[in-house]
Amino acid sequence: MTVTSSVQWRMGIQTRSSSFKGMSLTVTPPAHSPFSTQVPRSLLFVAPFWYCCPAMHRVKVAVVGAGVVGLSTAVVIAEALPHCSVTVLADRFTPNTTSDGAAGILFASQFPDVPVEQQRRWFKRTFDHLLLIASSPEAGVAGVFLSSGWQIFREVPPEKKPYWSDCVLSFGTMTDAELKRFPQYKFGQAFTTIKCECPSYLPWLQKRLEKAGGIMIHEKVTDLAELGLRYDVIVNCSGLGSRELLGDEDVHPVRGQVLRVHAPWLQHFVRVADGHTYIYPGAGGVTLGGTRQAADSQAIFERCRRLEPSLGSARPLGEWVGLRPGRRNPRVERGHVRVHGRRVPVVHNYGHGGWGITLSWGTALDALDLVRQCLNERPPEARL
Amino acid sequence: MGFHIDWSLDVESTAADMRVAVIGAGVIGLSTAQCIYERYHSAVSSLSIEVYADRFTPQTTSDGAAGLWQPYLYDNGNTLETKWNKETFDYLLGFLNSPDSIKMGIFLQSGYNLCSDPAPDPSFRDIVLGFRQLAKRELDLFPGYSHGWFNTALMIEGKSYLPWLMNWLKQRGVKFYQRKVSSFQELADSGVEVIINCTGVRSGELQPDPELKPGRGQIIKVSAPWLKHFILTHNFKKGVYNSPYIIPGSRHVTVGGVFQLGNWSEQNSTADHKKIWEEACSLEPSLKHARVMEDWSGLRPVRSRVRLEREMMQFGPASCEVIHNYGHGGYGLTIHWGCALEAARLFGEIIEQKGQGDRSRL
Repeated sequence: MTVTSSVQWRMGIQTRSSSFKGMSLTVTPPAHSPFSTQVPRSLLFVAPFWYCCPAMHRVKVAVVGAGVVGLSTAVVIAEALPHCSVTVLADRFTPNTTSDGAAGILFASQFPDVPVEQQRRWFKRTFDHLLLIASSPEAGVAGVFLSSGWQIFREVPPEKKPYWSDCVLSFGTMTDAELKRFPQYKFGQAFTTIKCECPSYLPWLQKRLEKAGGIMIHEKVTDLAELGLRYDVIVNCSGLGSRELLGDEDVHPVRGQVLRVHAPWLQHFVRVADGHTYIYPGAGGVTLGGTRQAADSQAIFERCRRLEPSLGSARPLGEWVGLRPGRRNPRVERGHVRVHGRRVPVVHNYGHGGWGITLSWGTALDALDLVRQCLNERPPEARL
Repeated sequence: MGFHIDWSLDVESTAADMRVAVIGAGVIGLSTAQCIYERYHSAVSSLSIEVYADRFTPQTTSDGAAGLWQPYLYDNGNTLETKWNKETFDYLLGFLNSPDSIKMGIFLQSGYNLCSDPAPDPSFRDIVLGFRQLAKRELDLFPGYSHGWFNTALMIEGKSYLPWLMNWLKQRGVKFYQRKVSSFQELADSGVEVIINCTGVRSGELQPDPELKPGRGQIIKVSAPWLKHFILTHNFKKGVYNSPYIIPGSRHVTVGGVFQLGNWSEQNSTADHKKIWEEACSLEPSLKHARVMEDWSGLRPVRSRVRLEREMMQFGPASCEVIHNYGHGGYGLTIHWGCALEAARLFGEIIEQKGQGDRSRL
């Protein structure tokens, strides 16, 4: 005989330094549970005490990947769901992730199959989150600050105002006087966006994760099923690694090559609309880029110098080549992995291409929603 | 440093030289010397320019200034000064794409002008690039300020520009003398025919001028390389430069503002440092993690308007033409080229008049 009894209780208890209120957990014993079909009343008294033994009763979430998407997602989950213990597993941590080499200028592109409204929400949420940091005392420490500049077009584009134009600060068309500096370009946009430098931002996120009770482990994850033995929910932010980890052949490396130079007088970004040439001044140097295929540094430098002649006085600092986790669209959705007949939920958040930083917080928030859904659907069995 | 300063008191020149002496080696003195040389060295074959100063870069007032091109908000009808400001802006803008721009200390910078109350658009709105009103979302970043503007202006850093000017002049045979000139007569007696008086805040020592007063400023130099915009605040009750400003430069960020009329002290004040720092950190909270490098104090040569005019001085049988070019307040770098052009124009008048006399040099 199957009895389905649902028990709902509200958690109004303090755990460690944070409190969570109003969270309800529906516990429905599965049909063939080895446990009694009726939840003993005594457990209702035991339950409020499970904060004493967090390791036994907390939901264990594994986040695979410690780039900007992985860490953002881990922080978002750890802060929103204190009853979860969040562990980030990665083979590479800052400063050795793909994110670390990116210039970090927030600038959205358009993915073909994601509804524009969702892309706009991803961008806006990330921008607003970073804007708070940029206007706080932590801007310098976190490496998040305002950056103004211009995007220039050789020909007047059909769409002069992209969908993200009201997400950045004060988007406008360049005046003729401003365009004079770029004689081969017929149209331009002037706006203020944010630069988010991962060599500073990722350590800042890591501190925030630790403060929220999360931990980080240096481990290369090669088998999600194996991970599913140790964790209740898996969040996959493995970027380019998803190709091997999941066998997702839609993920392909998109090569980026950038130079860094010392040119502290440069205060504005300049980006050619096709994305192949850009100048992004940062706190420690200016990033010159870039390319989506092999090109030598000299070619990058020359293209940038034509736009900004003062680069002739710049001192080279170094070169960096990274592989963006290219995909037709980012994959932000639920999946699962089978572990001994059980289904361990997986939330995917990867494939951000060259827009990882730009979309990091927004996609992390979507991933959080998916994790919440997974938790709400969890069977109660072994975890009580 | 790459240029030669003559420490001797004797001036070597031939009797046929037309000797022009510039007193003052800040941005005004050096740029005026440059402008006169450019326009007249071929017309006046024996033109000899000498620069006298007791302070050279990096010890001048121009060296300490942050270097942002920006006039006071309103010119109060002084359209001549607005014209000179515009001429300077356009002139400097022309160097942006030249290979010398960084040696000269010229680069673009954008930023915010913030007012606590609504205010009319400033005099420079049509001179700078991309001038626009601030949107509410931008004003929200600066609590306490309800109105303001964003624009792209230029930086012209004295610590680079002055050495560049001195090199330029030295390469063309201009001589430099490190000494304090005690009177116009002293130079006239030695045979100088035209004096360009660019003595800034201490012009009163050569000729009393009750309109000229020091406007003491103090700044804090900090390292905060994540700051990429200037932020200037305007409090109309407190007056210009007495309200915080933050101006990133190529080497450090300049944090100010203090404007003390009548204060001759060039010593840094702890009380001023505290006031500047607290107000600036309120304006830009991330300064909390900036590294403070050092303070600097300087005296702006404040006057109701720039004194840019000729004066013929008679010393017994000798006469000397003086072109006064001083009193540029806190906008010397901003206005310097327009004034240099005007001073050169006055010099041209002098040349023409002399040409009509006995000593025809044209």
